[in-house]
Amino acid sequence: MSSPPPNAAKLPLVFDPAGLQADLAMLGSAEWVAHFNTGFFSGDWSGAALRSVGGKDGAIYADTSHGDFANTALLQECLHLQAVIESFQCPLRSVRLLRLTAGSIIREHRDYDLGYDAGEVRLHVPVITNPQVEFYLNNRRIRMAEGECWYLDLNQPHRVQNRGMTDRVHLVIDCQLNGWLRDLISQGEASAGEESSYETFHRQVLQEPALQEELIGITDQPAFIQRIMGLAQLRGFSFLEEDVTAALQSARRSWMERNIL
Amino acid sequence: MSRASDPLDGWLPISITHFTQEPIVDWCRFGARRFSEPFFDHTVQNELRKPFNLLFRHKTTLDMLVERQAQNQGLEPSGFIYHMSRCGSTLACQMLDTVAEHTVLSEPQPVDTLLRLDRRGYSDEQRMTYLRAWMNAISQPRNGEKRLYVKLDAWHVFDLPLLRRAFPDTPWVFLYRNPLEVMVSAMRSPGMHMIRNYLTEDQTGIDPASVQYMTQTEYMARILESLLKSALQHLEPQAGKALDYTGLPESVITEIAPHFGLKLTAEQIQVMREKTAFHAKSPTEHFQPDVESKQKEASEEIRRLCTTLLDPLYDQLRQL
Repeated sequence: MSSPPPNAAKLPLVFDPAGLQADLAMLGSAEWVAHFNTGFFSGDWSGAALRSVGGKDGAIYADTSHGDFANTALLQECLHLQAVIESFQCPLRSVRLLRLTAGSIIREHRDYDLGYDAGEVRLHVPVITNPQVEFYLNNRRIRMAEGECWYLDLNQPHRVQNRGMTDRVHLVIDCQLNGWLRDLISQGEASAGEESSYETFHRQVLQEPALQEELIGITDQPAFIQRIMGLAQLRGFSFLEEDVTAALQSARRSWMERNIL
Repeated sequence: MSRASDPLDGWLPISITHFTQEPIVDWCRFGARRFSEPFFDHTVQNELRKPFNLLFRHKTTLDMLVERQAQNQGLEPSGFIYHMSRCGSTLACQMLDTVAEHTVLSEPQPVDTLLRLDRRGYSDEQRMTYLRAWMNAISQPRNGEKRLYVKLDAWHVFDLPLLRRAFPDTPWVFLYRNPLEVMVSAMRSPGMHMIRNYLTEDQTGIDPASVQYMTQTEYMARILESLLKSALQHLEPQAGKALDYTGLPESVITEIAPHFGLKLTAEQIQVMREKTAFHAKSPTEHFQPDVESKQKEASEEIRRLCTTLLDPLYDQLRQL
């Protein structure tokens, strides 16, 4: 039996970002549909369907019911994207462009509809991105560059912040796992990610009783987060409130699940 | 490492988990909070309402507990309370907790986790070492506490010999009650140990194959039977003492305190007596004697199981 895949791996596939971006430039504003999961983000997170159940335009929900997937009319116009998609030698389900505009964030969540074990995986190809995009998987920052292709275990908690001045658009491809894809993933370059700015701050607090004194007495969560943001700013950290909220959420979850073996 | 820079100074090992192969000790900056809630876990839960304590916790290996033992003197337990559940043990703890110098831990989850490390292949010696180290760390005096009392889970009477070896100087009591009343109470809301196969055959002696043919009532009676048998088997003239519910709450003052080497002042006794006016598990409610209602509520099956299985053991305990 093969070992389970890592949380994140860069696959040995590279696409030309310029071509993908040329396709992207052709898309009008009407092609973008706001993401259905409005509780998950702030700002603008929207998608354009390239392949959906019945080939329906604007159907950006990654439908997990057993419908027949077909390419949308939009994909016919995007020759470079089409070439990328055709290079996958495995059955494809939903394929979308997902856009997170400058200044927008996607809060921490898990995508429960996916899973390597369940035979369905989601691949990401950044079409356009910027150095201020922060993508965290299991609290580790994964840097993905334009034209690369990534396998990500999105069952794990993840969040994105586009803190740059330009939009971030990823081609998101849902694949049915077959031998070809399994091999591709096993040949990928696993990434453990980097410690986030918040994690560094977190470690400092654990080592410094003086910092702890500043925070221990605060019972109100919003006030607590504000105090953290204030201390972090004084010390030159750059994380967002969202990072603290995600850390609190994850702490609550692991406490609730502490007795589950 | 100098004491001033000890990152765990003032932190308590509130939980031991094993998500990973190696158990992990979860430390929380506990401040001066006493373990005054009816259960250890309730106090921990309340402390974790502080956002700081939810977010910032140290995680270490079990060996860190042992390493710290030398420089950080905690308390040696002054008494253990074993019990058959639903028999007044929580009330006894709440009474002991009225004394400011006492730390009272009621069914702390880490003790159970450490005891059950046998299922992960840990030897008796390792378990005893970690149990002593955990007791030491959790009982760091934070308000000048001088004595430590621990109420164990009902099924820990099966672990009594190991706990005796780990804490040979600690006296203990076993609290019990008329089985019929315990059965009625357990039927109303069963504890963990009443869930089928939560306890294993090596603890209870109940053949797992026979469990599926038992009614829930019979299973509960069998569990109580195994608890009572175990207590009877382990009772010792010097260190261990069995006490009936009928003597509570006064026996905490007249029997448990002297057995635990505790000299109470008149004022302390007064405060303890006041405490007994309230229901132990819902401290805002007044304590209601419920012997009569429980006796009336018992089904035919409960009565039959008590007569055949449990009453003889109950009588043996009472004749001691």
